[in-house]
This record gives sequence, structure tokens and C-alpha cells, in this order.
Amino acid sequence: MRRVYDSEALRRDDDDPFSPVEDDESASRNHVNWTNLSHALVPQAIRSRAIAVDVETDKDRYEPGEEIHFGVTFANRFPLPITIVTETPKSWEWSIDGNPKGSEVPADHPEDRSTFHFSRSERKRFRRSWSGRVRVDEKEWRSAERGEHTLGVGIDAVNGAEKLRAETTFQIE
Amino acid sequence: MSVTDEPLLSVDGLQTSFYTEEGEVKAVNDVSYQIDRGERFAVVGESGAGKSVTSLSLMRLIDDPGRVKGGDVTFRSTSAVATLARKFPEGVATENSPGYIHVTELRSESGAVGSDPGATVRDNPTDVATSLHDGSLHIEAGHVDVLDASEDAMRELRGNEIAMIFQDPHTALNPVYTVGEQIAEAIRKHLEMDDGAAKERAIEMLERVGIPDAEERYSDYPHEFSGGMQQRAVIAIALSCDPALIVADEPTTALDVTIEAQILDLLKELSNEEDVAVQLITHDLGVVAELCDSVMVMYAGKPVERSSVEELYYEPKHPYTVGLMSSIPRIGDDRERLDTVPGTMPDLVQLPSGCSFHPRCPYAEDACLEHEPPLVDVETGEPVEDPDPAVHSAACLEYTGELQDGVDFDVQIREDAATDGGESV
Ligand code: SF4
Repeated sequence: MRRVYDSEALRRDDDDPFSPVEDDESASRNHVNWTNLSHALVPQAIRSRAIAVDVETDKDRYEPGEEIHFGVTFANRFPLPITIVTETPKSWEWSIDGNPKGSEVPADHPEDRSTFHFSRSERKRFRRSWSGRVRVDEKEWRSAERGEHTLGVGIDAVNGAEKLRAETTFQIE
Repeated sequence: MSVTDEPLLSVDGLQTSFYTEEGEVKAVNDVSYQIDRGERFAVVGESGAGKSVTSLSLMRLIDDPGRVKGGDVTFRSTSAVATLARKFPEGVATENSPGYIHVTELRSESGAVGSDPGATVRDNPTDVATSLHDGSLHIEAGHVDVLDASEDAMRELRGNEIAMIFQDPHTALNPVYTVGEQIAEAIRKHLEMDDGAAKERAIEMLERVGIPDAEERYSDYPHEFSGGMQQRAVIAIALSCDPALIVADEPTTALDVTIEAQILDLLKELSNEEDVAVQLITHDLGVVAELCDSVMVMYAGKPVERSSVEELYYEPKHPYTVGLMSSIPRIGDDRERLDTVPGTMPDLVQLPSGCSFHPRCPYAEDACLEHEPPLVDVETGEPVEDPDPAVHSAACLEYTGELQDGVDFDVQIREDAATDGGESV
């Protein structure tokens, strides 16, 4: 668990005795800014094609009540850094039968655009799991029905979101 | 209800998340509580429970990728309202225009002024500012909407009205200035004193927090102070501007046990004498017993139990609290503190379904996987909408009658420690 004090998400201000003092920051500014370079070189429409999206469950069939483990990969196929502009600060989302994180309760992400950044040829992998229970209300969950279910992942990109998705299916028996 | 009967601070439905590549980390997930004037309120839980983020959110110290997504923080201090109204009249709410500074009653010697006191302030900012300053007008009632306040207004509020003490004194002390200068600087900034007066008050403050030879030590640099002394200096900075609320985030965790006891005594004494409210963040229920009146236990970003400290000690109601209780170190016990709540805090990107505590709860039943327990009055099982400090509440299905077997625990209070409310160092 990362403590908030070790993160950048803390307002620091040397002139304000009541906010934490700033960290020593002497990062060199003399390197090539690959992000800006890539923005100059790679148009928005192409950027969505640069990222390959993949999702895979650890099994094809699950017992009722069994946890469904899955892996998600986003791979930058370009030898240039790519930044995808997203509709919300949420970089990517997974869904079960179209419900984000298996929840029928709508998500409430702030509607400010953000970015999802990939360095040159970078692969990002995430491990997630789903309990097999659908959130049907703020405080209520129900076991998923038996049968086939679709697990999808995607980046909510401002441009080319349709290309930045992948899905797979699994059975609850 | 007069303004002094209302709580000093109300936090309602606070939600703070961090947006990372891993996903949305829901660090604070619908937290409500209130603190009265002069009250000492504890927020307890393990690391990752959301205690620090709760405090930093109310201090408005959360930065990108963190976001306060929802909720209200209301600070009811007439001096805060007066200072902000004087400096930021454009932020004063009137009947017809929104604002974060609410002046509900403005008085002169001859009585209440204006039917829309906010408009009075906003329409004649210079005159009102002068009158507020010289005392011919004063603000009788009002509050500040902290989450809507401007950045400049927040700088004014932090320190002047709400001060923060961090776990690590290095977070607050700047190594390149002397301790004395740093206290004097805070005083100059907030109390509008000249250099001489500020220095005098800084020395007074150093004495007040128990630093010997305060006058000489004024010119010491932070590294010349021991850890305990540094924390005393930080408390001096916090107190130097007469705040109404001190938020202390694990103020004694970095200190050894004897120094810890001294610092807790100091905080207690100061809060009694100066009538300042304290919000104490800690993972240690022993520290809570030393210092606080009431307590909120947090787990995975949510409050799971709220009560007076005494009731929590003698009759804890949530299985998580019971687990935490057994991790209180005992007098003369040199063993490593036991990890008595087996398991770890869940991933806040992906909370368990139902009761977030179910994977670690020895009493979990099927119902706990599908229903998230609301915070209810443990006596009546009724949901507590407004955080009422007099009501002992817990978020466990035991109290909504949804468990088949129920929870069952015995709390043993050791005689040698029970006299002051519990076991502690
Ligand atoms: S609701 Fe269930 S899992 Fe949660 S604390 Fe109560 S008994 Fe344990």
C-alpha cells in the first residue's frame, strides 16, 4: 500500500508552513521530450492503432462462486511514445456483459479528459479478478447467472475508442 | 441553534479517489463525521484505511492524480469567516450569488446589520473590511465551504484556523531555516505582527511546548533538535496562530514510547487550555485512549464504527475494531506488536463485494458477500444519516439482523489499565 505522503498527489509548498515542504527536485530538463516529439509525428487518428489491447481469463469454465482471474495487456506497437487522450481520468476499464467492473451502478468518473501514456514499444500488463457477483445496487450484489459471459476491456479514448477494445468469453456452469 | 452549538467541523459524504494506471483507487469512500469545538476526535485504522487522505482532503492538500470527487466540508468559525470576508469579499455568498464564505449574521453595536448580510459585505467590501478589523462590526454566525474555497483563501485557513501536524516533523520543518524563524514566519503571515513581536511570540510558543532555553534554541536549525523536540517545534508552529482545529496525522508514530507519552500529554494539555479541537489520525487505539473523546474507525476508505472512546473500549461492536483492540500494546510488554487482524487491507482499486471486511472477518457469512452493511445505530439498527457523536454506530450486518449466526466476542479489559479508559503505553 503506497502512502499518500510518498506520492505526488500531495500539494507541497515551501512558502506555506502548513503544507508539506517540497521534495528536492533537480531533474534535468535537457533530454529529448519524446512525448512532444511523438505528438508532432503521430496524428491522433493513428495513435489508437498503435496500441494493441488484449484480455484473457485464466480458465474457460468456472464454478458458481468461483473468482474469475484475468490478465489485460496494452502494447505499444510503435517505436515512439504514444499518448492516448481519454474522456475521463480513468485510463482503462473492464466490464462484464457491458457493465463496468461487473456493476450495474453507473460509474461516476469526473468528466475531465486525461491521458494514458505509453513509452516506446511499452507493454502494460494488469492482473484483475471478478468475484462472480454483479453489483445490482449501491449496496447489493447478486451471483451471476450460469451460462456464457463476456469480459471486455477498453480505453475510453476521445479518438478511435472502437479500436482500443478487446473481449473474451467464459462460462459459469 | 446558536452557532456555538453547531459542530466546528462537519464532513459530509466525502469521497476522494486517485486515478492511476491501475485504476481508480477509492481512498475515501463516503465518509461523514463532525467535530465539536474543543473536542478531541480520533480517526483510527490500519495503513490504507483512508485516514490520512481524509485529513489531507479537508486541508485541501490533495493534488493530481488525486481528486476530491464529492462531499461537503463545513467549517464554522466566526473568526475564519471574518478573516476571509475581509480579504476575499468576492467569495462571500449572498441571497443571489453563490460563494464559499457564508455570513449569516453581521452585528454592530446597535444590532443586526442587513437582511442579507452577505450582500452587505460584498457590496461595501472596503468599509466592511475596515469595520471588521476595528471591531465596530463583527460576524456573529457563518461558515466556510472548505471544498469550494479559493486557493488563496485556503492558504489563509490553513495555519490560521486549521493547523496540521504530520507524522514526520521533516514534512513540516524546512532544514534551511532556523526553528525559531519558521515559527515567527507563521506568526508574521497569519497574525500580521511585526518582526520583533513575532519573534517574541515564537519564543513564547517554544516555551509553551516545553523546549528548554527557548530563547537560545530559537536560532537552532531543525537538525540540532531531537525527534521529540522537532515534533514539539511543529506543535508550536501549529499553535502559534491560535487555530480552532489541529489535525494531527500520526504525530507520535516516529517517536519512542516515552517521548510519545510526553507529546500526547502536551497535546492534551494544550487542547484543554486553548480550547482547540484535535482531529487525531492514528493506527494505535492506545494513543486514542490517551487523548481522545470520540472516535471513528475506518476500513478500506469507509467508516465502520463511530462512538465515544469509552464505549468503543468497553463495547466495541465491529469485528474489525475488536481485531484492532487486541493489537494495543500492553504496559511492560516488549514483544513485537502482533498483527492481530489476519490478512491485509483490500486493494482499493477493486474492493470486495458486500462488506469490504468479509475476506478477513472471522464471522463472515454468505450474506456478507452480497450486502454492504450501512452504518447503523447499534441499539436500534436504524441507519444513521447525520453523524451524531452520541450514537454508537457500526457497519456490520449483525446490527441490521441479517446474520444467521451472528458475531460473538468477549472484550477483556485488564484491571491495571482500565482505570484511564483502556490499555496503553
Ligand atoms: S458484515 Fe459480515 S463480514 Fe462484515 S463485519 Fe459484519 S460479520 Fe464481518
